Amino acid sequence: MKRYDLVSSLFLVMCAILIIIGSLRLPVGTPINSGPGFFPLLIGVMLSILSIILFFTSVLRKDLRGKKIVDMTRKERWYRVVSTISVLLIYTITFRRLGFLFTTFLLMAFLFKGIGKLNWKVSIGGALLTSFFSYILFKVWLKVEFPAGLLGM
Amino acid sequence: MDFMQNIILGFSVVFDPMNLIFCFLGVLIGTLVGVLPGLGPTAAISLLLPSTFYLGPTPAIIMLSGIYYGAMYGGSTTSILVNIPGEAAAAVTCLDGYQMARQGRAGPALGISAFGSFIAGTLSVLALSVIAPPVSKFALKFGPPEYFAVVFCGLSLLTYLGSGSKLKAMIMALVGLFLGTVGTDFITGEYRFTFGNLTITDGIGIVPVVMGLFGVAEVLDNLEKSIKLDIFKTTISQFFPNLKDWKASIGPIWRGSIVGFFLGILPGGGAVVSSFASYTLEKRLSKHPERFGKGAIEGVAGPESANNAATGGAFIPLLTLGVPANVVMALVLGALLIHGIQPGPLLVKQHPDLFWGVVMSMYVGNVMLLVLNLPLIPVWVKLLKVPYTVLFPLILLLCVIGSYSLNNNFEEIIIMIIFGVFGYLMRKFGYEAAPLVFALVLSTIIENSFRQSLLLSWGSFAVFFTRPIALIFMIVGIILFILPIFSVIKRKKNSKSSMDQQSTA
Repeated sequence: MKRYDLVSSLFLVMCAILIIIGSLRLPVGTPINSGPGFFPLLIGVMLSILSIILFFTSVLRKDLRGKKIVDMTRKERWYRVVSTISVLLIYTITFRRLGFLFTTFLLMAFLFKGIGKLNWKVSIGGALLTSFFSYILFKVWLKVEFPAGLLGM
Repeated sequence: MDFMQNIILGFSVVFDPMNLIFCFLGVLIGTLVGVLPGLGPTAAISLLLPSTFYLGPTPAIIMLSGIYYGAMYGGSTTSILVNIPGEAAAAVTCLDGYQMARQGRAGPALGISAFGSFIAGTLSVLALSVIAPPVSKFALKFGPPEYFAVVFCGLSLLTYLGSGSKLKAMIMALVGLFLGTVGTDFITGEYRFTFGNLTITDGIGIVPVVMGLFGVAEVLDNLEKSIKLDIFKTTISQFFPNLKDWKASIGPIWRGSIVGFFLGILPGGGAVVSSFASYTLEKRLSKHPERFGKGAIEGVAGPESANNAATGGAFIPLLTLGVPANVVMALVLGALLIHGIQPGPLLVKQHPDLFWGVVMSMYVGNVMLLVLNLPLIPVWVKLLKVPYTVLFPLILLLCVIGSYSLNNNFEEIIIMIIFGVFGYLMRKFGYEAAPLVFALVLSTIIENSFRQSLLLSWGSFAVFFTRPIALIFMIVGIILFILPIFSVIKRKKNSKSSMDQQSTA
């Protein structure tokens, strides 16, 4: 955990500094007449103190020295994580243009086939079923307003 | 007499067919998400929150609370049969429940957890109906300093009770508090940290954050692991525990109910903590503590009762103070606010039908669960056989729709994805998500009460220490806040002295 803590504490210290700078740009005020920056500033200061404590505890701990950060992901599978995130982002951006039904079908087909490695029949069938039923459930029954998109669905 | 009238009012609300249907739906969905690992009551409630717009407030809250306590029943099934907690609060049930299943006693284990849950659930509903009205009268005396002190105490408690590093839990709580300040400042109306984005001018929504941190992050984590559920193959014949089992369990059920209820009341406490506390207590009280972990029925009966009792307790701070005791209650708070109902000391008086209807629905729901649960276990077992490759796309789709449908805004999905990635990294780096979400939820209450208190006291921080109620909560909160820091420093000293010894040797 040592390396992990070192990296994460440095990241947190950076965040704390950004929070402090951001708060100081807002009117801070005084305790009796506090401005919008008052509370975030307090949080920023406390966060920086605790992150620095975490930093030093991780530096001073001798155990696990030299453990590399690379082993945080299992190499053979991390691509699944990255591709899932990417496909979700692409889905979010395209579903306004192409409509819910069509893009959801593509998303589900990709997740079943590309990530889940199910066979084609099951993937396409599953994607058809899930996109259709979610459409009925959320759009027709629960009246969620999905974008119609080019295809009008 | 008043009490009886209220009970009758409550029952008349529950037995309205519409409410009865939503109570049933709630407990059924709750059991389902409880059974399925990777989907908990938090995700399920976030998902169904938008659909409650179209319901009245009473059926909406009846359904949401049904999901909450229903999940507690369902979680134990997976723990006992698969050795994977279906729901976080059932994690401790794995220890003895799974061992019982291996010894061919899956039936009594499932049976005692259902009966224990029922008894504890009933007791906690009773306690809730007796305790909540006087507490809400007492809560009328609360001013901003008291609110600040209660919430501060709750946050400290949550970080103190967290399972991982306390220091990291405190850091996550601070991150949550900061995220809560994003949006419009309630006192001056100024925008903070929005960078011109319209979606977050009302603040970062809880639903996309919860969906991201709990739903998406869990999926990403599992995609790397490829989980395999090894369902224990056994014929479950006898659900009814025998006399010896009952004798061993009745004490743990009672104690679990009491411990669970009171830990449930505390903001920051809740079902997970209660089940662990009950397990530790039973192990300590037992004459044969060595049996624990090897299939002791007390280790199933106690925690399962405790996590159910906690759900009743958790409603007290929400319904009487308007302070949610945990993330699930924060979502229920959201549902109440959507319907224009402000939970707080006046709720019992202003909306007696809602209050008593919800409380009594929990009783009816517990009966439904008991009747439903045992016969449905074969169905749940079949469901557990669905491979994860089929399940995870569905979970992701539900997260996407849940985040989107709250405001019909696709930017909420992007927020969800960001928090999904963030949550995934947090798991890698050993940070818990619960303190962050809890702090995010309470951020507005804590900031407003803090600033209002200072306004009242002309800028003097003494206001938190001169009023008796506030003082008590502040002292407890500060002790819990400081203890982890001291333990870190102490540990450091210890490791340093041992290092010195090593070097001199």
